[in-house]
Amino acid sequence: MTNDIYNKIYSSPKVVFIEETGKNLEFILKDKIKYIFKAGMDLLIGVSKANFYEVLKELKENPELEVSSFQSIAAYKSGKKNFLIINLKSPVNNFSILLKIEISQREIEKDCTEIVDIMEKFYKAVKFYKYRSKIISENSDIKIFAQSLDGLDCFDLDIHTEGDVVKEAYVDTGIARVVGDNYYKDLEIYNLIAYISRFDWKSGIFPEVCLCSAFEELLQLKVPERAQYIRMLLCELYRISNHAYFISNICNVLQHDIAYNLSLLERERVLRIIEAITGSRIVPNFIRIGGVKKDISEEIVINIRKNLSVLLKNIRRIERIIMNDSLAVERLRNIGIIEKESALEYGVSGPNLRASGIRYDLRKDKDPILYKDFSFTVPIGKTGDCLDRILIRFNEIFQSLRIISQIINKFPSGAFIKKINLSHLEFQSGAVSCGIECPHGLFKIYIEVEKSNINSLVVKGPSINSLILSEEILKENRIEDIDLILLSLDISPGEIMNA
Amino acid sequence: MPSIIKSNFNIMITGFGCCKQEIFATQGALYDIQRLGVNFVSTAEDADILVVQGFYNKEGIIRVLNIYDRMNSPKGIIAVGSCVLNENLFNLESKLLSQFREEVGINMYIPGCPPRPEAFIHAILGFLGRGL
Repeated sequence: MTNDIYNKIYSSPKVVFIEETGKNLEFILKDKIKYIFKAGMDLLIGVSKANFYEVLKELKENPELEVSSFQSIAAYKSGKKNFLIINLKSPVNNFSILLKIEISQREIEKDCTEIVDIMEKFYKAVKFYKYRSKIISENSDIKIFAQSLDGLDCFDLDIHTEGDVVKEAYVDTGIARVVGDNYYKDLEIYNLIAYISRFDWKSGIFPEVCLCSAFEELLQLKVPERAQYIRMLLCELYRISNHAYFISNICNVLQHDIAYNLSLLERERVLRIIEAITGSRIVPNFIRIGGVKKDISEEIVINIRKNLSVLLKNIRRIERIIMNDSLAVERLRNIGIIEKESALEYGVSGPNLRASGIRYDLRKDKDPILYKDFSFTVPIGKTGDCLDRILIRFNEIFQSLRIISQIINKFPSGAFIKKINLSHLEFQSGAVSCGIECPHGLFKIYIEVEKSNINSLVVKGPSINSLILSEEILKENRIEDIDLILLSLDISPGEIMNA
Repeated sequence: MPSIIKSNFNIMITGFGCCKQEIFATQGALYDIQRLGVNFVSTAEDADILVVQGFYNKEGIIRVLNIYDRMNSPKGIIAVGSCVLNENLFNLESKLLSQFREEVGINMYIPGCPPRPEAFIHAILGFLGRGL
């Protein structure tokens, strides 16, 4: 009873914390900013181009704030105005901010280069966004084009070597820039939900959950408990499928045929369950605003319960097969090491961050679904090499199986969707950003709406941060390990499309 | 009884998109496309068939045409998924792919977004002239 009242009337302690931080920031940055307000899980700060340097300096160097982690940068058009939106994070104080800068219509390129130049003084990762074809052609001697392996097919790699050791590496994602400016403008909202899962096709449910959670935040809609349980069940199933596919890719490069075939078999087993629930394998189109498309029948729950123990047994077996093979383990150990500090600085998230020893998971922090009902642990690694990144994935599969067994044991009854009329949907005009812990890291969506139409939509996946960091970690590794290191970062090509 | 495997049939995949993981799923133990004598290769000179799928920009189209030129004849092209069948989902104004289709002449289309692995195997068997 008290719990219900608490949930309905008062905002959660995390929200209060964000609002307090907002007030502190407003006090510190008094004259330099235009406005500051809470947009979903982030703080949106409007900055003019003239004050941008001072604001960044204050944010980075003030010991109370310590905004030291760069997350993402994106340009978008709203009406006739152009904007740049920059996402920064403070890992120590655990808050993230969005800086919104208006750039003039006529000199877009000049303004953007100026802003990127200013940012490069404070954040190393921003150098990826500079125009640098001249530097690449001067400093590199070998060009590796996009390959046919899934995950390595969306970028070119320029490297400079001495002997067989890589000294310089540059990533170029020119081939993956395929997204137009206004693809979302003429779409209805239910069409947009069907589109959005193509942004992360290795685990298609997460963009849908993220987008629908953002709309629910705008509408202040409370989703039925059963719908949230179905969402969590699908999220965990897709997480297992993604990690099984990851392991099969690694085994493909290691030429480990037994583990490759076994992990693809387990992936098919999970995809069969997903297909029974959603009717589709890769791009589900299953989540709706206010709930899910279809209810789960008792037969499916029995089927999942039957398959859980088989999955656990078989994945344990795959882990044992790989870890007992000393050749595979020695190949994976001590290559592509990610240090704690550089992982935080470059804004890497998800299993890649946890492999280097930092226990951060959005499911435990501020998740849009109901993960607080379940008990599970967040596994971490020690050194952050390729072997750790693979072991983390195995451990996450076991934790996901644990969550699924808890979900199907206490499935609540009730409605699976809150019926709302989508054709007459009207939002309060405003902005919201929503994030979710997808298998590769922190997946974020930022929307601006006005009445019934969407003014802007920015989708940012976590893979791009890992890809930028790969320029650093490839150095001092041997040329035959490049494939293995890049694959162990689990890059999803869909997230690179609009980077 | 005639042998199923007369000679190897080599396939090369280009592009990046959701169809790719469904095509690679046929390599696994469940679908096992290799029992039909079908291999995946990564050199253009070895390939008999080019599979075109997913998203392309101008640079990507140039690379695909380059790969197609390097292949030895007889050769063919299979287009997989609705991106290549219609236009790029996220950039409907671009007319790159319709120009590309006219330029090379595509031998077989596999519809779906993304098509199932069974559909891909069905198409390959149709291409070989058996199993349909």
